[in-house]
Amino acid sequence: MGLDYPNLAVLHATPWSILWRGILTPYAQPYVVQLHYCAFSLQLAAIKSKTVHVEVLSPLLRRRAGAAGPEIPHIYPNPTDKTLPRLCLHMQHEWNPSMSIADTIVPWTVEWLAAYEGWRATGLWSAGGHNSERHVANL
Amino acid sequence: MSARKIGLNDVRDVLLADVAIRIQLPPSTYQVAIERVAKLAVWLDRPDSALKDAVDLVYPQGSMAINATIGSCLDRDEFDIDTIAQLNPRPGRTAREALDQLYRAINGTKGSRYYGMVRRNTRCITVEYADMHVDLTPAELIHGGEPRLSEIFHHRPEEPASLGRRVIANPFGFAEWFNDVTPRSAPFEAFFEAQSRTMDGVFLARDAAVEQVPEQIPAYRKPPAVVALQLIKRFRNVRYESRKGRRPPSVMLARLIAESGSPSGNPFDELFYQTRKLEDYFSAHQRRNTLIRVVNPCCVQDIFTDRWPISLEEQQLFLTDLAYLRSQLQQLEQGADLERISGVFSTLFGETVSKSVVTKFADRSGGTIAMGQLRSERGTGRIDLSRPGIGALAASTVAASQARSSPRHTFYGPGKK
Repeated sequence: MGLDYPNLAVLHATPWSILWRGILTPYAQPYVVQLHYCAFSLQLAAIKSKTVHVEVLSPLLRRRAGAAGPEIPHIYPNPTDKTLPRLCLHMQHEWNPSMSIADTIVPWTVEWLAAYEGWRATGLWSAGGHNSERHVANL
Repeated sequence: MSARKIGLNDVRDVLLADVAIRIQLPPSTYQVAIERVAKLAVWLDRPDSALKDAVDLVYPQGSMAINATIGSCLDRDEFDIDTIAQLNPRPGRTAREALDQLYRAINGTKGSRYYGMVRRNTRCITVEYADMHVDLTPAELIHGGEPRLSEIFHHRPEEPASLGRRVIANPFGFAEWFNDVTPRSAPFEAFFEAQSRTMDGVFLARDAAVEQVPEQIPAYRKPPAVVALQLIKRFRNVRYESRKGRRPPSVMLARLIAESGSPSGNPFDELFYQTRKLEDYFSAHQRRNTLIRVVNPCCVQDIFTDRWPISLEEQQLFLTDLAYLRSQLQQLEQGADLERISGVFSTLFGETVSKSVVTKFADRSGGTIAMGQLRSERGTGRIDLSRPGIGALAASTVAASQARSSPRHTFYGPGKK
């Protein structure tokens, strides 16, 4: 991970948990993102075991047209901080801990951010996904 | 602006090029324009024409001759096609006579092909179509001077008692000069052509009875300065849409942009560079309380600024516009998401065009993600826009080893918003 994405620094590491934080720039807007993997569930932090939780720290994700606008697609709530929803990057069967995070979760985050920018600009989430009319990724 | 050089793989370059492509004369319309000019040339030579055997040549001039034609309206595609109708020299022909004669020759008699579509202007005759205006400027060749050095005619139709006057001009020489001195950039031109193919991949064969206007396929391989010229003209049109009076003339902008040289090689840096050079030029004159004076480099009597600016206030207004354009580009250079870019482009180039360009880009990009074909650069996450269908860049600036696609996946969670 460190070799592929030196911008993503390890903030915290234990034998069962690791936290990265750093900058990804899909187009021309840099985003500070945080990735957290834990082998165990941490109920207080709303961390599910063997899952990478991805949050966008800056700029904060926003609905279109202000707070009353439509909800941001493909996120799930973060009970510990409502301003930092977590990104729905994949179906459960599409990732497991044997897979490289640098080869999967990070580029999927880039794709999510690109799709989010397109949605912010146009109101359309055109990158497909579960429950989407443009769901062609697994055909 | 920082010294960072935006590569041809930058989203701001791709979107600026898309705007330039969206506002320019598209290939199909270009072909229609050629056919219409050819038909007009034949029409002028018909047996009962007032100018039978009197028109030597009809050839492109102005924006048409330097591949910089853009739409003249903000919210609909409408183009001005500028041509010269070169008349046999006839001593004693007055300006009023030349313009009236050309008007009558095209307009014809009631029920004929162009009857009622023709407008007599001060220096040209306009044939109005639904999607374009073809302007024919009558001219007489001056023998012994530069190639196609001519006299054109100036007569206001609302002053019928006046005979008008002749004005020396050399639009052909200017177009040749422009095309010669404008710096070329092979990577940029490949980029622009590739992008043009993505946006509008139809290239048509040409068959014109008149002298060939510049071919559209080479026209897509435009030097950076021509693309910057198109964008600055569009910006000017947006700023002057609701203002009264004359606009800064396109031919003046063309000369200033062509000779300022272009070291950049990509749309964003080129537009910024040319904007700053224009701002410096106008600012220097404004500080000295002098009006700019720009002439045709091939004909010093051909003064491009004879009708604009006529006051320091007019000049200051455009200088303020240029400063605004520069400041907006500087903001984008600092970093911006697609929504911000779309918003800034809307103020600079018009909302309809900008939203259309960003929507199409987002759709292309989203489609590539959905197909599992998006590639991003290791290290920064920067998306490789070189893939056909996203950015359509001919030669990627991201090394193949750096940009990789990822395994297929499905964005989970609620998506229909």
